[in-house]
Amino acid sequence: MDRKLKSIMYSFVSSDIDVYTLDDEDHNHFVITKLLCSKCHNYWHTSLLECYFCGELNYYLYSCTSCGKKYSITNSSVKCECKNPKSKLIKACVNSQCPTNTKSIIQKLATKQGGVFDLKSSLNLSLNYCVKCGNTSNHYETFKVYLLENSLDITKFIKQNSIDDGDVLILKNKDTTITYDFIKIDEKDQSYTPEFKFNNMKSVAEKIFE
Amino acid sequence: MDFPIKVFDDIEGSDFEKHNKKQVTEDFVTENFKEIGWSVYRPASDTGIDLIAIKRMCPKNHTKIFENTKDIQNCKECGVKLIQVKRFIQVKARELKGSPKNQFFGYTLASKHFRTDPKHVILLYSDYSNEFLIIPMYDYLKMFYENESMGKTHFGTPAFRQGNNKLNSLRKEDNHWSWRSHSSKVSFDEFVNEMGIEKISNCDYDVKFEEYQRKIADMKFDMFFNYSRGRETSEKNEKWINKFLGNKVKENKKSIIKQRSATRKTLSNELSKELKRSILEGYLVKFKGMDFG
Repeated sequence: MDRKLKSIMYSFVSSDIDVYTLDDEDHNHFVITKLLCSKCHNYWHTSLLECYFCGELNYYLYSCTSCGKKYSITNSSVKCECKNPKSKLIKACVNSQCPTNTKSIIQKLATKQGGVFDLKSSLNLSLNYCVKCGNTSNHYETFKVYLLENSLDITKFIKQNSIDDGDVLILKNKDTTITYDFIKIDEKDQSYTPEFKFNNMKSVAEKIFE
Repeated sequence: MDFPIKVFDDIEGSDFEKHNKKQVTEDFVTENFKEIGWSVYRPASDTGIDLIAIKRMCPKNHTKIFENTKDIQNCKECGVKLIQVKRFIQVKARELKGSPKNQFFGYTLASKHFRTDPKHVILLYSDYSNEFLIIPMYDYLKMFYENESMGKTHFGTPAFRQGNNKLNSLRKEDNHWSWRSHSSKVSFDEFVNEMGIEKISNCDYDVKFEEYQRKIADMKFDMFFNYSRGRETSEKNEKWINKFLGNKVKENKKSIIKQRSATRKTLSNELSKELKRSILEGYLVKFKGMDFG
């Protein structure tokens, strides 16, 4: 892949956007994709866990089974300051109303497994409700990305590369400073007038998924 | 035209072991999809999806599965402008085990692998028989949803939530693929090779995207929250849990945000500034939208 295109590609990687490259020698574009909430477009984190019983999120905390005091999971050797000989630190659900904290039989089940969010626990699932709006559906937002540098003949570039509707064209203007803009190709409106209003690629990368 | 074909002359699937087969497997799938006109993209960064396959197709499903549309813009049959069809493929390559007459394909899928996008595809590749089972997310869930006991064993068990539910019920017997359980046998032949390609080439997943997405989400919730106790607890507790979950899921679909916001507020008051900062910087930093408010 051309080094200039590779540089643009890595700006997406730095924004936690997944990048895919064509399995071919002819590399004039790459693909970016992100799993998003279909309602609010917030990122959908498949590695974030929620409690199976109440849907509460994992806050990466230890809780004392005797007094409930919370500790960072970074310090695994910590003992609770309540010093109750029966106390254990577990990765419990932080929702005080959750059956794993209120109903004795379920509580026992969770404690036996080291808490809802223990690595080996069977009492959590990957995110089912969006972090931001609670919606239950997600989708892949995906674009093919092309780069056009120091040129304003956008229409010609689109035709030459047979770029499809919905693809993205990154425009890079290299003068005394580097500025960027981008276009989402829309065959119904081809009146592209770039303003080069972005000073860095990170802002462009995030704006594309808004 | 045969599909898949042996694209690498010098190697056999059986030459590879679990630890060194990932690259060659994904490349084998890639080369075969390229043969039938798909552009295939592979991850440049570490991600969950193994391949993205893209092809221009007629939204009225006129494009033939082996037709190469790279240089055409309109459907040869009806003239309609082709649309860009994208499929997100998760590859699971495993060897067939068991006796030659009764072989099984063992694989694992965890809750994080089930997204509600109908363009998500599971591709099971048996490198010993050189066969693909290509199953769109909607079809995969539907097979288990319509056969309740199969669904409960796959999605309701503690092992599924632990992410280590090794599924050994997919069988190949007398050249036919099926899901075998104690009480049923469901054919998977409709997903094999060309028939699987036919399935993922269906543009209804693109044209009627929201309809399929809603159906996927509904089936997923029904099966994920149909608790099966395994050896975890008693039958009485299983009943209680399922009753609780039935009500809670309904409530959560309406108001999970209210609950989460109340918990976040309580935590924010309870935790020290230092602990909050440590969690935010150490763990939640990669989850956009997660904080203490």
